[in-house]
Amino acid sequence: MSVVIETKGLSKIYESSFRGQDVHALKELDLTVKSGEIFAYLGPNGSGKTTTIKMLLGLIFPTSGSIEILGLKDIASAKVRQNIGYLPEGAYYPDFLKGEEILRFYGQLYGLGGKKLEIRISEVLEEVGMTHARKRLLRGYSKGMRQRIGLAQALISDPQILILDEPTTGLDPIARKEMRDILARLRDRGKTLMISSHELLEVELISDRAGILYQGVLQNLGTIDELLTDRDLTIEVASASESDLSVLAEKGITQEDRVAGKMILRVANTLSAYDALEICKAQNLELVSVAPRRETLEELFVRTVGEAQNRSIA
Amino acid sequence: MKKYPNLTLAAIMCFAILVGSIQGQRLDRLFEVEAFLQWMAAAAANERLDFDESTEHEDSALYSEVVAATQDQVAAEVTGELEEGHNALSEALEDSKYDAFLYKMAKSDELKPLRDEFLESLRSGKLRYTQNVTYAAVVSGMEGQGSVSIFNLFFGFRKVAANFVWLQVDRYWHAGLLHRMIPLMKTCVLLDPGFVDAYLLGSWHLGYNVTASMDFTPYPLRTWSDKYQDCIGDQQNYYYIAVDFLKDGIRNNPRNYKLYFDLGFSMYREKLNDTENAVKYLTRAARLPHERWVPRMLYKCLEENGDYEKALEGWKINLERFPGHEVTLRSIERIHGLIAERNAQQARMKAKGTTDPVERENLMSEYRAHVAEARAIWEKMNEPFSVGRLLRLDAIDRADKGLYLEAVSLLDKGRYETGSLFDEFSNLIIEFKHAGGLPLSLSEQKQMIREEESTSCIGMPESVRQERLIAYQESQQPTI
Amino acid sequence: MSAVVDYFRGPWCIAVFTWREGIRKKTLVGFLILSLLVIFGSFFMSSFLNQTTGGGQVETEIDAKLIKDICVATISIFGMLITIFISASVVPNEVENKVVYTVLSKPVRRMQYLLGKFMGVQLIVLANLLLMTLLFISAIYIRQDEFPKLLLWSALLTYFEFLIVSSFTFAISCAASSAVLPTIGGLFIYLTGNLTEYLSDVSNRSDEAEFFSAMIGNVADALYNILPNLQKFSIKTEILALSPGAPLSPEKYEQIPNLILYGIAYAVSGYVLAYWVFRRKEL
Repeated sequence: MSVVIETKGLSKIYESSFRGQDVHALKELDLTVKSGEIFAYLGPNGSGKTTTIKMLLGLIFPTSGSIEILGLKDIASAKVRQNIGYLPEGAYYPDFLKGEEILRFYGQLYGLGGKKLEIRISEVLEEVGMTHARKRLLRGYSKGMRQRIGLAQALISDPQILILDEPTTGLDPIARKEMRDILARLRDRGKTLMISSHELLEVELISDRAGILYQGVLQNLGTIDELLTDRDLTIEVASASESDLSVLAEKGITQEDRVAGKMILRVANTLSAYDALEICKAQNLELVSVAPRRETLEELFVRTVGEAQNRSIA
Repeated sequence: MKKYPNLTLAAIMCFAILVGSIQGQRLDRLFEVEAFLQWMAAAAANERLDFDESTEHEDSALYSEVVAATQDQVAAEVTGELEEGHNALSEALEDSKYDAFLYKMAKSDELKPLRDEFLESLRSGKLRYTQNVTYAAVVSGMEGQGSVSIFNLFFGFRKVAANFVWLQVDRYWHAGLLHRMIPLMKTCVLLDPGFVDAYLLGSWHLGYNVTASMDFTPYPLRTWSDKYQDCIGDQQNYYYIAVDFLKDGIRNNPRNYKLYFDLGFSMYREKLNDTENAVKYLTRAARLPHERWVPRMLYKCLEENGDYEKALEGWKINLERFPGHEVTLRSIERIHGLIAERNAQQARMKAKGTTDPVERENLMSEYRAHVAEARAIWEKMNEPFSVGRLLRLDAIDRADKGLYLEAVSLLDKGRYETGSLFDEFSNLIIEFKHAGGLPLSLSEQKQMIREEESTSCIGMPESVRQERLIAYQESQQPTI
Repeated sequence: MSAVVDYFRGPWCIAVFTWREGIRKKTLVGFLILSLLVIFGSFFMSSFLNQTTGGGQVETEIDAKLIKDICVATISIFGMLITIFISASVVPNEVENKVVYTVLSKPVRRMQYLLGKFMGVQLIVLANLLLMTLLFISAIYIRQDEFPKLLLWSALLTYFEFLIVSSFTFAISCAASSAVLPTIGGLFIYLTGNLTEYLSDVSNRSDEAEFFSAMIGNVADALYNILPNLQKFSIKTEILALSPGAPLSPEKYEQIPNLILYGIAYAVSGYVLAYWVFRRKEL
């Protein structure tokens, strides 16, 4: 697999002229995205994901470091631009236009026109499943439809690389699923996708590789499986006494939280789900629910950083 | 561009600003030339129309310099006859066909020293006829204009301001605050010197509406004005303010016939009974693009001024333009009649003056022939005016036979039937009464006193007084 | 040649897009309606005069003059407001709603993008001006029953006055993050552009002998020569004073192209400034 996006020592410092305290949005980022993969670019809000993407697109300029896209240093060149589709986060599309009109506008910016453009518009609308809304005004679109039309505009030139900034944020679960399906289809057709997100679960199902960005530093770059080696379980019970808790703790089940009289217990990852349930049953605890623990990216990150630190000490 | 983008952009921007700046300077020069031309037009109008007002301003002197400097060029270009005492430049400035030539001349390098002199005089406030110069860049820094010229006010919307001032003038008129109208009217035209209708309506208010409620001022109570060479009473005071207002308007808009027409007809003929000046301004009005009634009024004034031949000529031209025009046809008839009457009168006066009986008889037969001619015309015309004229001829016949009482009664009938002949017949009645030794009525006695009084007023210089006295005595000589 | 066509294709699309979006702006429609109201309202201005006795001919001509002057002022003021609002808002709005990201990530250079936006603004301004002028012409036509040709000259010059203000407002808007500041800036440019003459007055009044006074005078003089002077466009009202059928005088024929060039020169400098600001702007 060839490398399509590569950054070396990419830094961005936002100079603050008033307080004299500069913001290091990105520190010495080395990033590679390979052809044909879905690269999940993860990180909590404000970690520098959007900054990186904007730099890749030439919307802002790096303080230091270099960017190469498709082997070219001039990322504003037509060849690069022809091959990048970009879906910004929460972009607004003029709602007085029809679906096809907005695509026509963006297509024309690529120098497309005439019959070729019309065919292409039909294709991308089909691709994002919006053919039915082709002649409707954007005013009447739902949020999911808007996001899909946004994706369609990113696809209009049939680019090799797609950069999607938070593509599923703000969508309802059904729309999210549809979006994920579309993205998986695109990957299957050989596109390279770079998806930024602050929610791990959104991308874990489809991405091949992920990088976690925290405070401007890329902390972990590997496959999703590597990142998610440990996964906890939480058990919710109606109530538990101090003695019950101490028994459970011995076996590896700790109290995590108490919400509205109910107790939330965390199961260590050495224990299987069945074992944990057996232990609870043995203590006669009233079971409310069992769920996989949704670890936040930040926690994952803190843990991975902690582990990395521990490793370095050892 | 690639290597030094900031430098390149800065250079392009500076270049664009430089071009703009140069263009700005060039426009200023063009505005100055136009201002120069506008001033020349105002000064030329002033000269053409002999508005010789003694002021401390240097307009006339500077204008003479311009005339001298451009004499050859203008002479080569401008064709046509000139009125005596007028120069070709002044005439050319009235005629739009010379516009291109005059502009080229005003712009030429040869006139640059004079242009500069004009600008310097303008800015130091030495010129008067510059009200129509409205370019801020030209008048900026002008003395007496305050810190910045009035044209900078209102963000260039001073014409709108002028309109609102005019609305206020109108309001004052309805409120009867005449004393407030005049300064506002002047403000209005200062804001917009091209507001021709303000001059027209303003002068009309002054000449007609303001004076309508004023009493006639007897001559002994009037004051002599050197400026207007006339005895000024209450009404005359406003007539002359109106005249001056219109003259200002003419200087600022020398090509608008309406101003000349109003000055000539509405003011001089109607209000000041000065047909000579009326003819002068109406002639000007008729030379400019005008409405069709302008020349007709001119011919009428020519007729009233006794210039029958010119009037006839004019009416004939009018007939060519408007074949079958009723008023024109009747006017031509009438003037023929008046010419016949005048010829008869001349023959009669000559006959009176000669001692040779043969010659006298010849002249009298000539007289009778002319009278017959006039009679034929009047009888054919058959309208109040001609009936009046016929009565006059009859009256003279009776008087010749010594039947003065009959003559007087005929004229008395005539003057009430034909209003336009009232004054003429009244004078003739007095003359016949004198000749026939008949007593004068009280009003006739008063009229004679008034006429005698009109020879003098307060502050009238002795030379003028003598002139008027002589003129009065001449007017008392018998005419028949 | 085809390279040039290619270069302008993108900007043209953006311009048309901007135009379509711009004409739907509520402020713009509001101003337009207001100006149309004033233009029609000028019909009734004359009712203030109707009581004046006599002179019917003169009355209608004062009417016509009133309508003309008010309409030209209205077109100037409202047209200028529309120009300023549009010029100030197109770029910041697009940055705000992130459309600019989708456009600039296409094969569109920033120069082309700005060109497109600027052309779009001019399309909107021209469309407005045309609409108002058309109404104005019909107002005069109804009143006086003649086609005021000179008004078209006046409208043309008005456009180039707008162009100067538009380009500098546009430059400010490229530096700003919202439309508020550039709008205020645009109004400021319009006001000061009309008051440039004061600078020449300052320099006229400076005292050569005194150092500070002389220095201020020189600075004022320099600024006077550099800054655009919108008062130069006052000939647009001078033209209207001519009688409707009259041809333009030769001096006006020479002034008009020079004035247009003047407008273009400053517009170019404003546009270059806009690009200079926008070239390395972090979006």
